[in-house]
Amino acid sequence: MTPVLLALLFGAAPDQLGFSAAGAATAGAAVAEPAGASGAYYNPAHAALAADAAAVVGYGRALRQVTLDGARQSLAPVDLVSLGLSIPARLPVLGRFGLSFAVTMPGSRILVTDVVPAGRPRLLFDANRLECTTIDVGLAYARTVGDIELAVATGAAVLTDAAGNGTTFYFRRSDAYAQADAAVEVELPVAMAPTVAALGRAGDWSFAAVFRAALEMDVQIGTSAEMTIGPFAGDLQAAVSGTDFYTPARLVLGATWRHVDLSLHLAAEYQRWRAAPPLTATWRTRVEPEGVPVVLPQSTPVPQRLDDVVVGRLAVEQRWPLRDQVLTLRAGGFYAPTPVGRDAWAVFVDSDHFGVGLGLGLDSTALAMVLPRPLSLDLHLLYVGLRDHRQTFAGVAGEVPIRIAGRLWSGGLGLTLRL
Amino acid sequence: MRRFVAVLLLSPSVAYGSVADVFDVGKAMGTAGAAAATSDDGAAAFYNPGGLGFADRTELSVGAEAVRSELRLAGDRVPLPRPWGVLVLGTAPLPLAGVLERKIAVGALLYVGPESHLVVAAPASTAPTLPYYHNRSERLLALPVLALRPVDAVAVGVSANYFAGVRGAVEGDQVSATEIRAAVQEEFYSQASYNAGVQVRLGAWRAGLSYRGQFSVPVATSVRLSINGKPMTVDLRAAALFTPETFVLAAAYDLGRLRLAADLSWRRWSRYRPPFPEIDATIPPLLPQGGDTVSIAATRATVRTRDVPRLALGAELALYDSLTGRAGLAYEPTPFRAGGGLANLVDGDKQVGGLGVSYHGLERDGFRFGVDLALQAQWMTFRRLAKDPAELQDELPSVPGRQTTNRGYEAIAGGGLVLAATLSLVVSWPPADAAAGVSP
Repeated sequence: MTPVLLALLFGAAPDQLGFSAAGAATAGAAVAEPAGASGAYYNPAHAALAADAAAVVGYGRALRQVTLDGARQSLAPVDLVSLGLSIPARLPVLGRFGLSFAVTMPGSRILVTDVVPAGRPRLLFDANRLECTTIDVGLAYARTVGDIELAVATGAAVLTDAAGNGTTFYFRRSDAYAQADAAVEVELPVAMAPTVAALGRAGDWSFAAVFRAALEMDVQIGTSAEMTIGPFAGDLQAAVSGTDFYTPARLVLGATWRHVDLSLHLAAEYQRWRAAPPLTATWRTRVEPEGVPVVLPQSTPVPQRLDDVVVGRLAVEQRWPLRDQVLTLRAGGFYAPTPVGRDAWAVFVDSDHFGVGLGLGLDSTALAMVLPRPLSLDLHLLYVGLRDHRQTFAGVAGEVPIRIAGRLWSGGLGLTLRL
Repeated sequence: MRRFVAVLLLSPSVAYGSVADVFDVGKAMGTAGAAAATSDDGAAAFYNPGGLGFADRTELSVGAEAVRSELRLAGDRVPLPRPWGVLVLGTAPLPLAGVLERKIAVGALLYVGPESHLVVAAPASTAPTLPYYHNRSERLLALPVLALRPVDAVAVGVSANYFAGVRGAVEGDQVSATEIRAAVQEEFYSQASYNAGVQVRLGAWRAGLSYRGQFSVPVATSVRLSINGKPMTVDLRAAALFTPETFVLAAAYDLGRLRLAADLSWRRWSRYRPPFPEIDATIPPLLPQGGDTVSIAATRATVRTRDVPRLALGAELALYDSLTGRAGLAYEPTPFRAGGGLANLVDGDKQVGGLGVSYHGLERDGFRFGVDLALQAQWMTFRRLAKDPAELQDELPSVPGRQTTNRGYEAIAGGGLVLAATLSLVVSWPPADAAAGVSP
């Protein structure tokens, strides 16, 4: 069958695998009370209400297994490095502010993009969606109104586009003279998607709302040649454009209930997939010899239909204070319906998926002789399963039935330093 | 099914030059870059990572840096595209205790253009170009730094000049006589070179030794096309955005309210690779009536360069307790030797003058607020590059005389002025253990 290109369409890496070990263990549900510096990704408003400045460094590895029509697909493991920084600041006159900064980087690569032709099935449980660096920055402001602590934040997720004029070649040749020259222009424009967040605390409850605009990477690569070769004089131009790393606009509503050392987290995430642009590549070719028309084939658009979905997330955290340490157990889960329908027209292949996370955290003062504040070590395991699913795929050869199943395991650790 | 295949492999080098290499950053712009013995803020990530070990306050500086070109080449003004960006400098002594107290500091230098993370512009080999300024500052600059101070008088540090390379492929399948389906694969891979340094402070004397690594990756592009069954191949290689490996020896002396500083750099421009793409191509007959397939070898343009020193002298004067003025002068001879063959790279000696002022006098609740302003003028001596007609191929032998389209013939001249300025707002606070009641 047609080789399947690997892409995880439903969001950036932290959405799928969690940001830091604490975030992964709670399956992304702790939006209203994120642990430590993981709030730099889950809710930038948290930075203004945090007790301490904190920095987290995390490492995780994901192993994936996917089968299409019973045939196992070759998916390489993905390594993820997470860096988070959350800095609360009480500035004179101005009040309580917070800065947050979160980076997730896939190993030694900043990103790998794969814009596929319309005729190939695109597997949503795919590699290059994970292999994308995401950077989130936020600025938060907090104030207390009566018994309620309120914080709001604004920020952005930063990515890059790949554009530019590409390569221009100059060829000149006559019987006695030949010259070839070239100029290269490559530009990586800044691409940003705004984030707005709010967080409120009242008694045992915390509430949060986070909106993230859609994030995508537009790819444009072109080459042109100006040629004077014997009787031929004219231009040749070819360009490929497409969109990759599409992460839909999301609205997340979350709540946390605390009772002594127990916390329950709940979040519902609305993902607006219907607004996705065509996620396949477009080809344009043009040859313009002087006075001689040349007709070349072009790309034609293929219909694409994706549906909006709501992802539910739930988690629990229990803390046990020991002598010089605090032990924390975490567990969470999520269920994400696929945005791909069962009928034809879709060029994507996907199914509903669910995740279960487990984690262990240890806050220790064992290094108090050099670290005056507690150091936290967090571990996590995450399992994500794709429900066995059949759908019809509209490919080059027409509509064909296709069956998908798969799973993902992820494990990792995080180290949090309070500053 | 007929096949239409187009593959474009793109692996451009993306991280050679930077705004700090060409125009200086932060307060050092006011001292014309004389900072390796004195820098102890986020800019130390570039000038001398060891200097950060002497930082005694957490500091965040956010500002902008802009340049304006009055350079001229072949009679035309040469603007510098994307002439401004945001500059962020951060410094944080780690809150450690015991034997590590005040011994380790981290920081970062970040320069972000408003539009692009990166622009690679490799010109054609005969295009008139000012190589010292062309496409050497149009990229994001991110320098995280770690510094240690094992003893009170000595600090060492290292910073990473971190960025991305790009390589990829484009493929098109001709699925019918009228339709192509295309795919794009691109990889942005991380790469880094390293800066390292040591700074020593003994009484009124300060000394610094700093190393900045060369940061270069070659450009390689391969295009393979088959148009209606006719193959076309083009292989391209280039190197752009060059910044040389640099060694810096620096000293400074405090005379009460006046501090004098000197930096002597050795810049290894002899390793310079011109940015021109080199190509090898096979072009199919494109006219409907057919013809011969044509093979064309790359144009080989050579450039001769040499290692050069750079001398910078700077002065800082504490006008009042919280007001400091700066001035500096620097000189760097051109590394480009005369006689460029086909190429038209024009470069002259650079004379640099800087002025700066800082006010850090607003203190409240343990926080100190300030502003840094610096200006710099770089004058590149006009240089005339004459072409030897014997080096140029006669492009139309049937016409009497030597016919050429080389734009540098008979001679080309360039030089002029570049102005740079930076303005930053700064907030700093002492470490938490030294500021009772402050909770930054």
